Amino acid sequence: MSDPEAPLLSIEDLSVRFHTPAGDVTAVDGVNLTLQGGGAHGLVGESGSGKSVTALATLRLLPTPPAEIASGTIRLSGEALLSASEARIRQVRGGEIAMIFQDPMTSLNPVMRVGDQVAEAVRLHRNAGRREAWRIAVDSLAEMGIGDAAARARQYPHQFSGGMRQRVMIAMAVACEPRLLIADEPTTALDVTVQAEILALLRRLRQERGMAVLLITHDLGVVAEFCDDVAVMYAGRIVERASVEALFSTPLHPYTQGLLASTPDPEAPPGESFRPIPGSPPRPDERPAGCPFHPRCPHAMPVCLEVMPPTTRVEGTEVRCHLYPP
Amino acid sequence: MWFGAILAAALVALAVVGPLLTPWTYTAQNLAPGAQYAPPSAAHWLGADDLGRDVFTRLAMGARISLGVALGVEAIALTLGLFFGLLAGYYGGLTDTLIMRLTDITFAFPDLLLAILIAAVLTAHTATPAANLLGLFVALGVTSWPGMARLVRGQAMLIKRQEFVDAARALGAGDLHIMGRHLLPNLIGPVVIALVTDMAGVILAEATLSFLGIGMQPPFPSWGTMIASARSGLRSHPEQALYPAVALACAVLAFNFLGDGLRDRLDPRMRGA
Repeated sequence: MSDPEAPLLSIEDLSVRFHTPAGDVTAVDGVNLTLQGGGAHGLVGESGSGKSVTALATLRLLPTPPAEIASGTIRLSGEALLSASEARIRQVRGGEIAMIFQDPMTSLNPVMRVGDQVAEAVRLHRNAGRREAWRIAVDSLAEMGIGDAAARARQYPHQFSGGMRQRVMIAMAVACEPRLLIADEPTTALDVTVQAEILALLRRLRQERGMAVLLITHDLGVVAEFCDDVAVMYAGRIVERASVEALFSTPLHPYTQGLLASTPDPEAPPGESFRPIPGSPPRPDERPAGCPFHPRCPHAMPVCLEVMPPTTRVEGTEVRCHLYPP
Repeated sequence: MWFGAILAAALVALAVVGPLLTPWTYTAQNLAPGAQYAPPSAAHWLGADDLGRDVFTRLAMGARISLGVALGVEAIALTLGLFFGLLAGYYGGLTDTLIMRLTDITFAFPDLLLAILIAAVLTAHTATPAANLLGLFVALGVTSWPGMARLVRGQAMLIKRQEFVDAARALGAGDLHIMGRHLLPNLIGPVVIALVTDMAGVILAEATLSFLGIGMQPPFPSWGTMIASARSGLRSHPEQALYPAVALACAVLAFNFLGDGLRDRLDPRMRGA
């Protein structure tokens, strides 16, 4: 099943539909994504663009119904995850792919000591006794930069600040040394200074453990700082995929260009520091025909209203836009 | 809350050590002239009843039976309520529908009527105290668990939507682990409140059944049987009914106050209301 030559994570043609009373909604539409071992891949997009759904589908955490994986394959080192047994997927969760969530305030059980929560995570995948799991938990909390970990482990989540809770979450997630960490907006709820600390921690874990990270965010600054490669999602599709250098120096898709232009530039004169993209992203249940970005696109052509552009390659960048014909 | 707690503690003390304080047993009769309906004295603190038995001893034994039955019934209600409530709340869907319809069916009968029916069937052919007690447990347990199950289900449905449950699942936790380690500890507060408040109802229901003669059988001195046997001499000796009635009222008040007090303390939504 497992193939050492295969990429760590490969998502091919993934489509996820939600069945709602108002009709079916396609949240993710034909997404392709490849992540090599030890790599750091960013997944960028606005709310509702399908980035979190893609991540949850990878771990089969989407509630079915209403969600349905309409097509596609997800492979972990060549092993198909979507068809894996429930027992196997539970081994994968936490053991090989771990995930941390956006809000560290609600991601910890309020009535359990943090040390116990990390120890539980250890015991889910490792054959450790209570005492040993606790010891591993305390060591792990210390490694995540929590001072006086032995005493802090006996405290409850409400005694921790947001940044400290996110460190606890990361300690839980990496307790069983997964090969891939999916971080869904890990810094969004945190202060800017704390954001930098958490990113530094994730970077260190990547270097020390060779752990790959799939970073989901809407913050291009975070991507620039952390990732090697990045995919930009819009309305359930990946519209551009490139190395971080290429994306920031020569963004190809008009949406990516718009995103970069709408990021404040401190060196620009006041009033011109950023230009937001006009309009707002379409609701998932009323996406326009053709390229879903055309109502907001400054370069929209007649063909954009009718035909979804195919993926084309331009010097290592994959882009879905009629400006770049095959 | 403190009033309720102290009253409840006094009742527990009465039940545990009360019968040991007197030289009498609850069945010791004294049919000598003047011993029947003896007035309160140093020997008989609350006097004696129609058969010359010590009223205080019988009252204390009654407390034992009331609290014992209440504990037994709550244990049954808790076990069934947690089991079915967690299953229904966590899994939802068909499991939830089936379990909730089952509670609806139980709710459709008036509680006491159903308990009377079950108790009558179960105690009809039994004479041993143990079978008697068991009958009461089952009769009152069957009517008590659906309320607990609904409470647990509601709490479980709220808690399972919280992000830490998703986080646990993302790290490989299974259903049992999530129910036991994440749902259960988070719903214990409301459950304790409900248990304490329900105690009052169960004590009252036990007294009712015993009063009607299908609960504890004589010579066991349940408060209900004591009130029932005092009926014949109610005109001349009303105090014989008064003692158990006051005890009953105290018990019900104690657990209601305690339950309300706990709710104010534990449930932040009720704070300041």
